[in-house]
Order: sequence, then C-alpha cells, then structure tokens
Amino acid sequence: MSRTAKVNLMPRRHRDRLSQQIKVRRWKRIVAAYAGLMGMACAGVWALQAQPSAAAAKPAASTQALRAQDKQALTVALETEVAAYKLTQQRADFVREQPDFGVLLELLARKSQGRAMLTRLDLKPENIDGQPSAYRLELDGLAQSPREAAGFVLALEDTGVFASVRLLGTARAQEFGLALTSFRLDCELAPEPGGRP
Amino acid sequence: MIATLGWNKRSPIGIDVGRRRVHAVQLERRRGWRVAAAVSVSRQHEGVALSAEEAIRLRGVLQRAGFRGVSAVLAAGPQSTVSSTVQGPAGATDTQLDAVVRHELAGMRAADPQAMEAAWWPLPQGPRQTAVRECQAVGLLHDDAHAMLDPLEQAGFEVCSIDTPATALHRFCGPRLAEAALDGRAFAVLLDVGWTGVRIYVFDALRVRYQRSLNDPAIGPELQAIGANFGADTPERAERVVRQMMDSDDVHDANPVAVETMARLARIGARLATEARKSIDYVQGHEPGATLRGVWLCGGGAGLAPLRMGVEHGLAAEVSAIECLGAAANAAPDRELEPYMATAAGLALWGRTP
Repeated sequence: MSRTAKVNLMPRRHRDRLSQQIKVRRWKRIVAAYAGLMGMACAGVWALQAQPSAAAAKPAASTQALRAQDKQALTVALETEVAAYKLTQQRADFVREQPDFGVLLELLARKSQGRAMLTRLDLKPENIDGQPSAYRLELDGLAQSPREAAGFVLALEDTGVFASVRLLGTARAQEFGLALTSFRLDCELAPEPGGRP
Repeated sequence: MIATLGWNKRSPIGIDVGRRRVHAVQLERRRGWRVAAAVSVSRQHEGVALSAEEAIRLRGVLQRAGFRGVSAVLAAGPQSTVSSTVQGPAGATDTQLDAVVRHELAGMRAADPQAMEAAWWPLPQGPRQTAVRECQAVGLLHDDAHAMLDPLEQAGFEVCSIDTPATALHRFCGPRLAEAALDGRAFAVLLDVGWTGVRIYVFDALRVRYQRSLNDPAIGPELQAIGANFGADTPERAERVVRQMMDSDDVHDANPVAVETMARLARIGARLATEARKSIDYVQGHEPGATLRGVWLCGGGAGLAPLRMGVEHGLAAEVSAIECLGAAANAAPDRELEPYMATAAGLALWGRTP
C-alpha cells in the first residue's frame, strides 16, 4: 500500500463530526433494516396466524379426508359385518328351512326294510333363480330280486313324499356271495303347498 | 441500501477545482477501476474560491452527468497548501515528527500549528542523512479547509477527505508505477502541464518524493498568443484552435502558422525539460544511484505533441502521456478520459487500491 494512499487534510474536528454523522447514519440504517426485518418477521407470523383457512385448512382438509377414509373404512367394515351376518342368517335360515331329512331317511329305511338295501343316497337341490325350489333324490341299492326293487319303488310312491319315483334301471349283481338285483331310482321330492320343497 | 451493505462499486466523486475549470470523476470497480462518469465544467469566476452558488450548480451538473452519491474527495491546490521537506531527529518517533512538521509548516504561514492540518510521509534516507529523519510534508490551514468545504457541504456534498494533487496523481499512477517496476532506488517524473502553471512531481513506488511548482513556463499565455493569431479571444477558444491545428493535416504540410505553433510549443517543452532536469538532479544528488525510469505528462498540455517532443528532446528520454482508466460512461465510446482529468481520477481513488 502506498504511503500516500490516505492523506487527509480535513480539519480533525470536522473529520470527527463527519465520522460521527456517518456512524449515526449507519446505525439509523441498521436500526431501520432491523426494524424492517422485525416487521417482516411479525408480518409473516401474523400472516401465519391470521390465515387459519389457509394454514389450518390443510389440516382440516386432511382431517376431513381422514374422517372420510375412516367413515368409508367403517362402512366397509360394517358392510362386511352385515354381509357376514346376512350370510350367517342365510345359513341359519337355510338350515332352519331345510326339510327334515332325518324323517326322509327314516322313511326310506322303513320302506326298504325286507326288500332292499341302499348303497348310495344323493340328495340334489334343483335351483331356480338361485333359490332351491325342489330336491331330487337319487338312490342306488340292492334288492333280492327285480320284483323287490319294484316293490320298493311303489312303497316310496305310496308315501306321498315324492312327486315322482322313477326306476332308472335294474341289473344283476353279485354281492355278499348272493345273486342280487341292483337298482337305481330317481325321486323327486314333492313341494310343500307354500312352494317350498 | 446496497451502499449500506458495502456493495457499492462506485468510488467517491473526485473533484479537482482548478482556476479555470472544475474536473470531476467517479470510478466504479469492474475488473479493476473504470471511469463511471467524468465531467469538466468551466468556472463561473476564474481564480477565486468555489462559491456555494457554483457548488450547487456543480452538483446539478454532476447529477445530470451520471454521477451517483454525494460522497466527494477534494484536492487542496498548491495555492492553499504549504508543502516542504522537513527534517527531524533521527530517533524521532512519528508523534514527535508530526509535531515538528506541524510547527515547521505553520511557521511558513505564520500560523498557529493547532490551526493547521498536516500530513507527511517519510522519504528514503540518503547516505549523508543518518543523523536526521526526513519526510515530505504538506499542510492546510483550517480556515482554508473550511473555505473549501463549506460551499460544497451547503450544496449537499459530503466531503470525506481533502487530498493533495500530488498524492492523488501518485495514486492514479499506481499501476504505471508498478508496471515500471520501481524499486527503492528508481523514480519517475510526472509533469502536470496546466493552463496556468506546471507542477513537477517525482514519484517512487511508495511515495511522492518531491514536488515543485513552475509558473514561468505556463502554457496558457503561449496558447492564448497562438490562438490570437486565429482570432480566438478567450483561452478556451485559443486552446481549441491549437488542438484542432495540431490534429489537422496542415501540421504535416509546410503551413507557416502551424510550423510556428509547433516550434513555440516545442520551446515550452524544452523549458519544461530544463526544469524537470533540475528536479531529477536534485533527487539523484540527494540519493546517489537513484535511476530515472520514466517521464510522464498529464494535464491539459499532455495532449500537445510538439510540447511532448520538446520535453523528450530536452531530457533525452521517452515521454508519454499517462493512460486513462477507460472510456467514461457519459462520454462518446471512442473518447477516453483526458489527461487533465488524472488528478480528479486519483482523488476518486482515495482510500482505495488503484
């Protein structure tokens, strides 16, 4: 740096006064800048506080969304539960509304006694529009002779439980060391007067 | 606001109040210092102190010319300052030397030392001055300082310093001094050729070694006499006529008037060379082995080629006008800062590294 870089012949008192003025002005600017910054900060805080719709709307919206989600979840859960309940109810109804097959089996056992021996019993519901409207009973069995088998068919028809009893076929069978006659029956259970099987 | 935070790239306004004109320059930092604005205004009343009215007018001119801010640096002219080489005891501290300087300078003006502001800088110690501590000193009376400050402050300027033309020019020449690689024993001579007077400065890399005013070889009367041949009745017209004549092709022809003008300017240059030689001899006598590394011209006469050639011939050394800092923002793109603006530009660099 040059030795003559900062020669200043301004009177000392004048220089001090100028220096003081510059300092005061600088401090004024600093204070003004500080005040400005504080003002901006306050304005920012005020803006944050005074805009709940803007600032708090988002939480509210999110809460609403959560609530909607919860509601939807609850609805789904309830619907699932209701559906499960309905299913249970339907099952209960189904069980409750089923014919008393025990009676049928007892009937079959009684009518076949001394004539035939059942080897297969298949009860099939016949659905119309998804609802069981009738039942079909398929029977396989053995009889001592074709005549006994036919007598079994007639005995079933006489019960009145079946709308129809059809002998689908007979055939010779050798079972238990005996010459027997196997048969197959197709029986349709007669519906109740109310339409229920 | 930007200025408050210290990001202001503009320098203070350097104001060089001369007898005939006021030169003002403001620089800005753009990869080094460049001229942001420059203006030269004619004085309303030649040779008198600046009045408040003139200062207000000046401020208006500066505002219109693209100057920014009110911070200004002034130059105390040789008429108001007192300068001298002062010697103190070899073991004197800076405080003691300061008191000696103040006392010496005040004595030259028969004034109270407390009524004067002084500045000084040490000079290199010669082989025969081991018993003394020598310095170059400059002083300004408080009354003179207030006479300079008051009008400008009334006009709204905020003067941050009163500098001297010598130190301002030294500052302005800083890059050139560095380029000339002046070591402790090398120096350069700067001739400030003004209308009303010539000043000779001797610079080394760090300081103003020596300064001297010459009134005799002033170019003003010569130019006016030359201009009178062409009907120029004012100094400005005379200067313009001479400059135009120097720039015209007539110089190269055998135009008797042009040849006569060149001869007169060359004679002024030769007289300047003689005076410059005295200063060079003084420095070299004071410090044997000191070498001259350059002779430069500034001021209004720096642009007159015959004058420069006269100095070159007289000193048997290459002489050049000091370069300008670059095109002024308010000047035409092809016009650079004139050499007579160098002092104002140096003032604008006050407190800053050139």
